[in-house]
Amino acid sequence: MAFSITGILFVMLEFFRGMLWFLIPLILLDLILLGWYFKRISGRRNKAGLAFKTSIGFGVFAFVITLILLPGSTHATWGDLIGWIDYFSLILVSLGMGAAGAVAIFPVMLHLVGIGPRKEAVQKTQATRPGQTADENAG
Amino acid sequence: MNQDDKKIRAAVHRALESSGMSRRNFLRLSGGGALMAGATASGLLISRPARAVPTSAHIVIVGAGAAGLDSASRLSRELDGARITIIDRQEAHYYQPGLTLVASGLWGADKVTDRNARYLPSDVEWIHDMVAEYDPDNNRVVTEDGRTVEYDYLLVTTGLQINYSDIEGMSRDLIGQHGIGCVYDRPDVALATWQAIDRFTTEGGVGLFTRAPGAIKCAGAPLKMTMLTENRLNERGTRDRAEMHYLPPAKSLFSQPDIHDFLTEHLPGRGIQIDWDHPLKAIDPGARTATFATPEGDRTMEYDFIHVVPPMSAPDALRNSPLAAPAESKFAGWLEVDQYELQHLRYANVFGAGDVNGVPIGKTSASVKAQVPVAVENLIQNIQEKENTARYNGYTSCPLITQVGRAILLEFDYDLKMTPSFPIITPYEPRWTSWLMKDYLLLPAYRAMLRGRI
Repeated sequence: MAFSITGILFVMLEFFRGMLWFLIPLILLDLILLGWYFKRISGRRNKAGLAFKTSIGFGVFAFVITLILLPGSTHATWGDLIGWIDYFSLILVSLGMGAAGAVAIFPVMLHLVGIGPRKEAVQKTQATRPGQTADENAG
Repeated sequence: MNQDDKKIRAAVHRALESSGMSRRNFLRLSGGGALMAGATASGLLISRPARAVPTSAHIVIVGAGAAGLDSASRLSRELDGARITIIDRQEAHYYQPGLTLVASGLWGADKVTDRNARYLPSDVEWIHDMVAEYDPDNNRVVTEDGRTVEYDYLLVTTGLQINYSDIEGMSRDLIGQHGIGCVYDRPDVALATWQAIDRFTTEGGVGLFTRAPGAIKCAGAPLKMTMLTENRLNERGTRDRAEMHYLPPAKSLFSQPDIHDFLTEHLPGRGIQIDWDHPLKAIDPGARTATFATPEGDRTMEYDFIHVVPPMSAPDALRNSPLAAPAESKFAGWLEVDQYELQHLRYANVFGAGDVNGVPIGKTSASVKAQVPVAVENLIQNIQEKENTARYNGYTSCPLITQVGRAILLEFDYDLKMTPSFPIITPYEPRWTSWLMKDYLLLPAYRAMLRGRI
């Protein structure tokens, strides 16, 4: 039976339909947090890299948890995974959950760890650091 | 700013610069992108084809099961101006492929219970009644309440009826009592079956698993119930207290020959005795005995649990109508359609889809999924006075559950050739991946089908 991309999208839509009450507010919240981040970051040190790394860490955690719990959630045991395709499916689903977790948490992390102090404050601190010469500050 | 931050920021800046875009414009476009994505998603929900066929035809669909709802959704979307009427009294919709999981204690009944109204397009008229009489010579049907409904085109999607009374002493009310189970019915009946299986797998005894002769829906279900029950006995440590028999009505376990061969070895390998040529003739619930009409004569067996699979047929109203295949046909009593084009062989404005069709392939929801687009497309071709273009190749599918956690994803066609959608998943060995699909993906796929989307 041939499958079309739109057909797969519709199956995924039906899969998530029961969770839309939760997913739509979550996506909206993420978008709002993302927009707000760009507003907040103006004039401040951008530490998006740290937020990205933290989100990846959370994604890895979600991946491992899914990996451990998925067979049991289908009433199966690890002994029921008997071929490479079963492990491939398990890893694929877990990767999807990990990626979704990382993406969902990223805007939150941007706010929690992705915004540094004001640039002027940093410059002032550097300027008044004891023992520094005027030449060093200029650099 | 640390080195990673700098790298990310520089990369974004370079990308924006190379595309001649400022950060403000990028954000503006991102917002536009989000709106576009939203529009696409809503388009998935309410899209219409680019060119709906204009017509004033009145199309009557009989039956609001899987095939009826799928057909209504497709016709509503693909026709412009048509009057579409669906006739069915039933409000509830049951996900029948999930009944084996209810009857084996894995799913609750609520998971397979839905409402037809959720899937019926708003522009489709719904007559809450049942067809009592088909009058194809006058292009009309008469309902049980005496209402006459005329049509230009008729799409028969009634499903089938379960004939408990064909087994002497058997009735639906007995299911769940006297050690009797049956997976072919409503979710509450499947739940009652689980209660009977629960007792049997706790106490042990003799378990008989029957299969009716003739065409039945989901011919894999009796096998699934047998293997899942054996699996439960093992889980509970009561396997050695149970004797299990699988009793096919002839000398075949499954229509697809490779799977027949697999099961012929697999069932005895699990201590399940196959008693060939054992169609169930009668049951005595009080005495807990079942009588089988074997070629050597009647054989009566005692049981502690029996899974009854009653004979099935097209609904009486259709079976006794001019639309049914004649007695000399091998599909006698079923809707007489061309097996490829799904158009009635004698009434050109009548089409069929789903279990009611007299075609040489399994009656499953996968068959419905493959048949409905063909029946609908050919019906629309007829409205436009064109030749039929769509053909049904007999595609059907069965996730044959061999135990909790493992299944074989079978897909084949009229030639009984395996036609796997995912060739990397072998159709010859039980796999957890196939079980995962059965457990998580087939219900969403079924619902997408009801909306006419796959």
